[in-house]
Amino acid sequence: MLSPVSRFTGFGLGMRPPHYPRFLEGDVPVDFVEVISENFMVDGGRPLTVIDRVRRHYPVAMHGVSMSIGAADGLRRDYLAKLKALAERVEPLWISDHLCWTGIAGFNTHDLLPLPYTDEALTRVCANIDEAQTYLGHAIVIENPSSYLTFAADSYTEWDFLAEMTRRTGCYLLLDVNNIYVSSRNNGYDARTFIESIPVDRVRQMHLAGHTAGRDGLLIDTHDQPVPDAVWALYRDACQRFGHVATMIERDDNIPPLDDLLAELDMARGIAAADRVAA
Amino acid sequence: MMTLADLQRDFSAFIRSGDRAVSDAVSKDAQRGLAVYHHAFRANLTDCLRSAFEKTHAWLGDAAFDAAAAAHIASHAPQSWTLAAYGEGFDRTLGGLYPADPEVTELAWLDWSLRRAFDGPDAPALVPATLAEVDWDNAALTLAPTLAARPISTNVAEIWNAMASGAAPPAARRLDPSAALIVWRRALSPQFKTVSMTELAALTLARVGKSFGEICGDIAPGFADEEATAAFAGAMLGSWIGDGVLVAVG
Repeated sequence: MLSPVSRFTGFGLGMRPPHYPRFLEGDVPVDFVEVISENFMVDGGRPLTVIDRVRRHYPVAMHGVSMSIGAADGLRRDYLAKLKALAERVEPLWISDHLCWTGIAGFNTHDLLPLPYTDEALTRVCANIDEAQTYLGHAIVIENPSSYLTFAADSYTEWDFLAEMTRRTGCYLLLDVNNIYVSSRNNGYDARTFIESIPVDRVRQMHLAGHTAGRDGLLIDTHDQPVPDAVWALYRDACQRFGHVATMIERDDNIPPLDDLLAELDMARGIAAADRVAA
Repeated sequence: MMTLADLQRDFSAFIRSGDRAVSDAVSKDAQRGLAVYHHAFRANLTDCLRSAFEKTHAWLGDAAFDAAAAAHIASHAPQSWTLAAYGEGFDRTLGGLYPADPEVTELAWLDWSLRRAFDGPDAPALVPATLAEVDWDNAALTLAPTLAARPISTNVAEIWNAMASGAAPPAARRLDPSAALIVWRRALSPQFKTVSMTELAALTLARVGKSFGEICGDIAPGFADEEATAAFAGAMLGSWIGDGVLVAVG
C-alpha cells in the first residue's frame, strides 16, 4: 500500500548553497524548502549535516534530476537505494522528479531529455513509476519538463500523457509553470489548454522560474532570471484552476540575494491569495 | 518500427557523437531543438569539471582547461547516476595531455581528492583516553575512510595553497627528494598534507591491515638504527592521531 502525497499548501524556495547559512539558522520566512535530492545522496560529510539541520527548521520536498523515469531499459536500483536512504533520513513532504529520460545502456547524459508521447512510452513510464513507488513505499510526484522539440510519432499531447500517467499509476504532479510556458512557445501549443486539461486533484506542487531567449528563437529553461510577467500570468490561471497548491521559486543560476527571491515568493502569495478571495 | 529503446539509443548517439539517425524520429522542425540538447550535454559536463577542479582550472586558464575537458568528454561517457562522479579519471586525462608538466595532473588529483573527501564516509573521532591501554606492537590501525594518498614530484601543495589564499602561485618546480600527498576529511573539513615517502609507505601498510609493530619493522631499513626508527614512528603516529588520520585502534 503506497503512502499518498499530502496536500501541503505552503510557499517555499529551492535551497541553494549561497543561501545555506540563513536556512541553517532557520530564519528564512518560508513554509518549506525544496532540495535537489542528488546533492544529499552522499556517504557523509557536510551535506548530511546541512540537510539534518535544515530539516529541523522546515518541511523539505526532495526534488530529483536523475531518476530517468522514462528510460527504456528501466530504473537503476543503485539510484533508488540511495534515494530511499535519503528519504528515510529526511522524511520529506514528497519525492519528485521529471517526466524525462537521462540515458540508456549505461550512458548517462545528465540532461532531462524529452520523451515521445506514444503508447509505448506511456507504458514504459508507468511501469517505471510503479517500480519506483513500490520500492520507495510512497507515491511520487512527476514534473512536466521543458522541451525543445517534439517527435514525429507523438500520439498524445503532453497534458493527455500526464493525465493518463497519473490515472494509471496514482502518482501526483508537480506543475512547472515556467516549463509549460517554455514548451508551449517552443513546440507551438496553447499553455492555457495545458493547464485546463490537467486533473485538478493530482497537482501537489507548482514551480515558478525564469528562462532565456536563445539566439535561434527557442526559449531555454535556464532558471537564471526572475519570474517573467508571462509566467506570472500563467500562474494566475493555474491558481484559479488548482486552488492552493504548494508553490516555490526555482532559481539555479545567477542566484540573487535571498531577499529578492523572498520578494518573488510574496508575489506568488499575493496572486494565490487574490485567487482565493475571488473564488 | 522504431522502438523507444531504439529512439533513446539514437538520441544518445546524436548527443555523444552527432550521429544524425535520430533525425528520422523527431519532428521536421526539430533541428534547433536537437542542437540545444547537443550543446547542453557538453556545457553541463564542462561546468561540472570546472567546479570540481577549481584550482586546476585556474592554473591552466579557460581555453586550455576547456580543451582538456572537451578531450575528456569525447573519451569518457558519463555512466554513474550522479554527475558528481564525472571527475573520476580527469587527472589521468590531463596527465596524457601534459606529460611534461606533472604539476597539472598532481593538481587535478588534489582537487579531486579534496572533492571526494568532502562528502565521503563519516568516521567516529578517536577518543584519546582510549589510547593509554593500547598494545601498540600488535595494534591494528583504522585510517580515515576518506584517506587518499599518492607520490608527488612537484610543489603542487605550494601552488594549491597560494591559489587558495588568493596569492599569485609560484612557478612549478620539481621536488627533491620526491614526496607524497595525503588527503582526508577531519570532522567536516577536507585536509591535505605533504608527507615523506616513508610515511606514505607506512600508511599503505596500515591500510592493508599491518599492525603498528609490523609497520615499524617494515620501515626500519630506511633508518640508521632502532632509536631513529622509533623517533620517526612515534612522531608519525602522533601526527596521525592529532590530525584525525587515525580513527580507531584495536
